[in-house]
Amino acid sequence: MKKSITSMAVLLVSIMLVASACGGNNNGGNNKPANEGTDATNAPAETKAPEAKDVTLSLRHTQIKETSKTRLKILEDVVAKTQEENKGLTFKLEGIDEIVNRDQKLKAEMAAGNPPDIFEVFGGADLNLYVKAGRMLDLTPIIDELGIKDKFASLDEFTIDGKVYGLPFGGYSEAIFYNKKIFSELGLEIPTTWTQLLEISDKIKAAGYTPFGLAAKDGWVNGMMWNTVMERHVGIDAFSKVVSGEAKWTDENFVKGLTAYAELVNKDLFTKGALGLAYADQGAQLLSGKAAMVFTGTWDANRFSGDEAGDLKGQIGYFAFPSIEGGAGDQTSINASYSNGFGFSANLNEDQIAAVKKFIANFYTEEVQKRTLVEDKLLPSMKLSDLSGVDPLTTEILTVMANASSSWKAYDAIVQPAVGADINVGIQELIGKVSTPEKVAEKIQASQEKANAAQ
Amino acid sequence: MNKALKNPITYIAFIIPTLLLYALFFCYPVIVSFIYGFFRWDGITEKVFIGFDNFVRLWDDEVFRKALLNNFYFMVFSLIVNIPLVFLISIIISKVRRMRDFYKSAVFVPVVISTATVAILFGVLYNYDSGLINQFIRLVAPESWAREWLSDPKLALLSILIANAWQNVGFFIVLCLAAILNIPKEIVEASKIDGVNGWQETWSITLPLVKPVLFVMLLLSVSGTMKVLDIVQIMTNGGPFQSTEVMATYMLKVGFRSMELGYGSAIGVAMFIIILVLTGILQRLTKSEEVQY
Repeated sequence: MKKSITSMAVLLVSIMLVASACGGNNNGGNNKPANEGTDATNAPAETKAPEAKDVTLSLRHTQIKETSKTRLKILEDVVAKTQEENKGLTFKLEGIDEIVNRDQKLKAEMAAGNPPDIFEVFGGADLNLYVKAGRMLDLTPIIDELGIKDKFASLDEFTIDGKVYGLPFGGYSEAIFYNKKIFSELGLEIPTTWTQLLEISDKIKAAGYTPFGLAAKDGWVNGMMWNTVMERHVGIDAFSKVVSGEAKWTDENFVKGLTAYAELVNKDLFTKGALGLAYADQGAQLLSGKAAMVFTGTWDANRFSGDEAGDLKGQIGYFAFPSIEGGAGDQTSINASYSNGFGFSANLNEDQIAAVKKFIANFYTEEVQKRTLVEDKLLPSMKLSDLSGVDPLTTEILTVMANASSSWKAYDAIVQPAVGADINVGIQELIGKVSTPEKVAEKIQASQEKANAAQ
Repeated sequence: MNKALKNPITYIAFIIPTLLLYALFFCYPVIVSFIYGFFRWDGITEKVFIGFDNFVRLWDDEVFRKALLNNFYFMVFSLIVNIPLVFLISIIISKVRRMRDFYKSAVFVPVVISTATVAILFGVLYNYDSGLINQFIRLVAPESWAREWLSDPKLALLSILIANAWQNVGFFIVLCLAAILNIPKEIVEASKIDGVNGWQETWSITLPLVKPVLFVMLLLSVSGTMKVLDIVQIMTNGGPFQSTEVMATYMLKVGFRSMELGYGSAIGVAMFIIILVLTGILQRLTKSEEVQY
């Protein structure tokens, strides 16, 4: 009996220990995670630092798909080169799915204060949050020292209060990819105005093709073309003004923009049943020759000029979205952004920061950027002096970019996430023809007011 | 051995790991969600205490109401379509003598396939242009009969329900079939001697005797349909324009896409309470007498 009491007590104590250990971790995680993280990463490095200078950096990337093999290879080459040049430096690469990283894993790690040392991160709203929580390493001194600050096409998305917290490795622009075969078969010219766009779309439709391939299940896909139509009507500044409360979604120009988009829908220019289709279907419609055009981002350029194109290889072109007569926006501007980049943890110690500097010096070079452009067709985030050897589609993309009068970032990087979600629903309602532009505008405005009030 | 079995510590030692896991992965998250429900929180920066605001907002939230209604559609569909269908198929299979094992395995196959796969498969079948269903319709009927199965708000939920039924029915059939086959032969034979016909046998002998299993199915259906997530998430992602949104997909969207973890937690809490109340009521209702053979 006595024995059983003691063992019972032992058991209880051990349970309590386990429980309190859990609790302790949680408290620490919530209250002062940054310090805890630093301690953990510092400890091993500091003890070893004097003799061997063994430095380890964990690097999280999302290049795990078949289509991103080339990008991964480039990253691995840079890592290998950096390791070779710096004895004792080891990178630990870890690849996970892009969406899992962005929406779950990285966010959870950021909340707990233990992100990887180097990680892929999106500029804009995501970065804002992480900087506010003090998780991101300020890169301004590093890029000043390396003298590469002015070489980037744009660091806007990664700059907060004049400090740079991430470096883009590539960019994209959004416009129309088209099937050159169908265009020449029907004798169509590239449209430069809204009226022309509607004209050629009618012709394409009459010939039995889908004018615009669309897969509308996920809101952001519809948001791309809608965004450009809206920008033509209201100008991109208006999007910031609705957030600050100076403008309303129900203002005349916004409603005009929504009406214009609804016009495309009501003329049945999009794929039928689009609301049930996932994004990959959209590109497939273009490549199978069913759709004459798709509005999407240049991240698909690699796919459109790859083997999947089959007969259409080399027959896919890219042109800027036409101007809209009488619109208040910049009629030759383009949605382009350099928001895919690498961020670095604020928990790094000095040795690790020194290693990060070496990595940046090796990764952000004209040579690597050129290689990414040629092999992966990713728009370079740095200004390149030599553009030889790129394929025709990439040339077209670069031309469109060069001809754009200005560039702006997408609506979902400007408005609050909750408003962005309601916009996506509103566009779907237009596509499903269950609502009117006025009603959609009212709904988005209501959501905007709610989000503004919560700020 | 006997001594060990009499010692309460033995029992405690065996249940402690489970209890710990239960506490860690069930009790703790539930409690924490309740607490988060009172905050406005984006998951990373400081939480702001806002009292019952999230719950007040939930009360007025049209999308949530729509989502709850969709969950009820799911439930009603499974109660009035799935369960009778399960019973019917089970009876038929139990009557078959030849190849009964084959039928048993055949109906169980969809259960083994993962929901993600089922959702994608049905997505392909439902495709407007190239889907098998529309192709077949076009073959036997005029073009205008072809439907946008997953993108027509009137049909999307039904399309999901059918896919969901196709996947889940098998599991219930196996349950129900086992119960039917467990009915002692003597009872059936005795009733035959009394001149009972097939219909009467089903209605007054089989049905009452498999009642406990039917109740289990009822309970599983209700809790399963109220928390359904995966098949909706993959087939329509709550769309088109939130017409197929269910509570779980809405919670996920609010919590992790819009980064309103506080409000998302409030939705989770509401789900928890709704499911708890429903299953509680059901258990009350079905607390019936044991079946006596």
